[in-house]
Amino acid sequence: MKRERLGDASIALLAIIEEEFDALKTLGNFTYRCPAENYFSRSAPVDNHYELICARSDAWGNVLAGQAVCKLIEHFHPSFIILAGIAGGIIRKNDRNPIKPGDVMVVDYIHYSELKKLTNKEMEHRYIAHDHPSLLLRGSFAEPLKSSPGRWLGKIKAAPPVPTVPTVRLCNLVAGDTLLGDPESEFQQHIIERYATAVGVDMESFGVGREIFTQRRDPYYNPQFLVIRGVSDLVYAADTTPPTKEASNEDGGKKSSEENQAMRSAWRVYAAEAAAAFALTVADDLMESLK
Amino acid sequence: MSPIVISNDRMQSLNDELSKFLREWHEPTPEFKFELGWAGDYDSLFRGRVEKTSTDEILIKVAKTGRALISARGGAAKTTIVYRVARTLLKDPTTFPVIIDLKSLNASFYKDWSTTADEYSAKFDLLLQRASMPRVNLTILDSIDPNVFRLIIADGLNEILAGFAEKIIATLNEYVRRAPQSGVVITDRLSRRALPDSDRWQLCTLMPIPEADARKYLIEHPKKLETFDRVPPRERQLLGTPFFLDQFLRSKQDSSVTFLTTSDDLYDFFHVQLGMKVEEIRRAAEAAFTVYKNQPTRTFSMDSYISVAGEEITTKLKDAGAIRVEVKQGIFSHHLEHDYLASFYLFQSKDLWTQENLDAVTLYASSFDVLSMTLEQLRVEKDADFFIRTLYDWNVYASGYALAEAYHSGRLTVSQPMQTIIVAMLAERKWDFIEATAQRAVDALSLFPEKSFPLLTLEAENMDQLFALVRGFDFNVPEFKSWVALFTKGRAEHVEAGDQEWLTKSDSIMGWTLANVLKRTMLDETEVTRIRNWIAANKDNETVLWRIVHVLGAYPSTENVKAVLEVFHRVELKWPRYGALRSLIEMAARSQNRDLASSIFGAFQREPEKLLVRGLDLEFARAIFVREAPPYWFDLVLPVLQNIYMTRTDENERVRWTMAAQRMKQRYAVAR
Repeated sequence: MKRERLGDASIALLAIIEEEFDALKTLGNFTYRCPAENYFSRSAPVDNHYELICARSDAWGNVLAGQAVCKLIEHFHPSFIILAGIAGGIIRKNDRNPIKPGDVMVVDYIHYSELKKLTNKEMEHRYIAHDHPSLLLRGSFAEPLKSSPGRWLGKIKAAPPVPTVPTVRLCNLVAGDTLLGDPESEFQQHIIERYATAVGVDMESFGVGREIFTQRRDPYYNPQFLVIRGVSDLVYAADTTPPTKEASNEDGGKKSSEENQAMRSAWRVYAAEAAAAFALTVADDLMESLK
Repeated sequence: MSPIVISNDRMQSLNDELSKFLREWHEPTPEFKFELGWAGDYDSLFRGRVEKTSTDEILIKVAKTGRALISARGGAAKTTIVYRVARTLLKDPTTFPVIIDLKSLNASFYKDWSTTADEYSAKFDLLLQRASMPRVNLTILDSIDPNVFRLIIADGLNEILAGFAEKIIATLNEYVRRAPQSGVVITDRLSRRALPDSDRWQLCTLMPIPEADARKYLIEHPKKLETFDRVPPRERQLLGTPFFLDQFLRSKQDSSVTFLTTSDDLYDFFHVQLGMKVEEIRRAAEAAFTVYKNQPTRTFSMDSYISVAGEEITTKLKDAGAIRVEVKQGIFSHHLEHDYLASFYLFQSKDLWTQENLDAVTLYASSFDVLSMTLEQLRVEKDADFFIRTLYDWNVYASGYALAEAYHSGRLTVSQPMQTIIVAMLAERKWDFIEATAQRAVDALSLFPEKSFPLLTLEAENMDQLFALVRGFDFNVPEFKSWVALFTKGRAEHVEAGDQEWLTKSDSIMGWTLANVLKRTMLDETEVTRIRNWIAANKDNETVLWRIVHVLGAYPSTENVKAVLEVFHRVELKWPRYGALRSLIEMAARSQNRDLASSIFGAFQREPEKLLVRGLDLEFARAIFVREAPPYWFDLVLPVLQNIYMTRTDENERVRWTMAAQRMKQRYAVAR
């Protein structure tokens, strides 16, 4: 007896929001819709095997991202999963090389900020085990690509709101279930301060890492994942000087909650494409190495 | 080095263990041929809109999506079907079947479950270690050749404590999601469950044995066949249930028509087949009831049983195979035998019909067979009416279920007026403001046979049509006439001040009918104030308090919110708090005043511990899905859901609350 699956896949790319999914499908030429679910590939499967598929989570958040990975694994059992989409970048005081909208983050370590206990007006963080992005994928595929921007930059079709040349950053990221969009928020400042080495913030990486961690109890299955994030907006540490109105034209940085949202709206498509372009190139290199 | 795989010898010994267990299992004889009816969802399943197949389809379906759930009445041969599947698979080297006998779970399991790590694999491991056959653990399952399909058969979901069923489903679902060569088949009673990944679950029920087939099995017993042909078709239905056809075939009696009911059939089993005298059955019954009372699980302490039934009777039951014993823990070979004995004890004294006892014999409203058999045995109309009324007070769906089962079994002593009242009150819930309540009412009514009054009420499209159906009954019973006059009051009518006093009286039928009528007719401000003021005078009367807050739910105002919040926050009684929670949500949704609605949800946020009480949080999750909601509903509810989510450490629980938020968003955020 054999459990039926929708197919087998070597690599799965996971998007969260619509713009991310569109970017992956368009730039990756994923035109074939797999039967039964919202999965796409470049062509019909051969012997029910797909080299690359892309999928989308039902909505934001770590839990749903984890569920999407769980579904992907149940349906396709991919060996590699790449989370590709947008995230916030963190600007800190005296940052010599501040991240900017449109840049791409390759995540090497995921902090999870949401598990906490509120006690005597203090916030004590708690810890929960999860996987971090694969060393193999980062070290052997993402890092080498960093120094060859010509191989992926040209794939981006969207125009940035202001001219930019995206660069790639290997960095820590902090994942939570709260959209950090209010510079005035004490909680947001606490998170930025608490995770002092993080350069990015998102709401799904932990869910993916946790699900991969949970899946890794079968000695026959060793899934690996990578997190690629295009920067769509910036959040500022409390001690940073807000950019001037003039400067904001250059880096998009403004401090109010509305302005943060405005920046995200303006950069969302470009950042999603930047992440997709990089992730697709990594995926194609990986696929080539498997042949 | 390749991963560890368990040896062929070990695999063989595990299969031998299961094989031995299945050899010792008694299959109904002759080996009946069964059919399954598959449905895309619970609505179709309950309405009988199914696609019939042979039982072979189970494995085909499980191979497709990894999950199947067999939902059918007690005695429908669910266990027989899945045990047959397991037996067949023993010959198949590509599959490893594991049976989890859920009814064997005892109190220590439930205790250990609560202290086991909040993670599905730990929970699943506990389940395997306590109830699997062959006895395996998760490490063994994971070490089996990855090409071998692990089929988990969880038998008897309805035989575990209420509240655990969904947890077991979630745990098994998580395992199947993460173990690619695995599948699960669950057996359950006809009950709607919240299924995670609902599109991946294949639902089916067992079709009754067709009359032509039953006749074929009876052909070697001419007198039984004669009996079968003589009784009206409705009474013959019972023998479409394999458990009872099996009992009928084995019975030493063959000409009596009286055991064509569930309880009579079981009486025949104990009295004629096991040769127990009535007094012995009475003592066995008291013991069966007592062990439920001591510990509401299917397994029980043999010492407790013997202390009531005595050694001799217990030995008789053990020798006949009715009770199986393992390490001083006993279990009846079929839960209907245990339930019958408990009902035999219960039906004899009204004093036993307390909420506490009803909780115990139904495993906290998880399994209602004992109630339908109690009802069947009540031969005096007045007693049957009193019993069904008691059930209505305890759990409205239980009264509907007991009536439905009694309809199916062919003997119903409850008076026609009382049946009409109970069914009509259940039917009114179809239009309940809270969607889950409406759904449960529809499910309960769907259990009745074709062309019955309850099924006709399902067709009613509005209250006026229901009123017309009710008015069609012309029973010459003064109480019924009074009830009809009250029940059929339309939206524009008014209940006189004197009649409103019924709300505070002990008559549950009139009291609850009035509570519902007052919600749908028009009360003026003075009357609402008067009813609200009754709270203080009835602060220790659980039922009256519940009815009052129930009425106030339809009249959102600052004063009513304050009064109902006071009940929710300060009253220690379970049901008034439950009613208050629902009414607060109803007021928040009905009122077009955002400030008022915010004050309610703000209060939930300010004293979250009041909402986090076990059971109330789940009711909150159900009650927030209302028929009509204001455009800001999602924004109001979401922070409370987030708050509850943050208090949960169990991953399945977190998923449950996230999913609730997700469903809220899909259902209500579009209105923005």
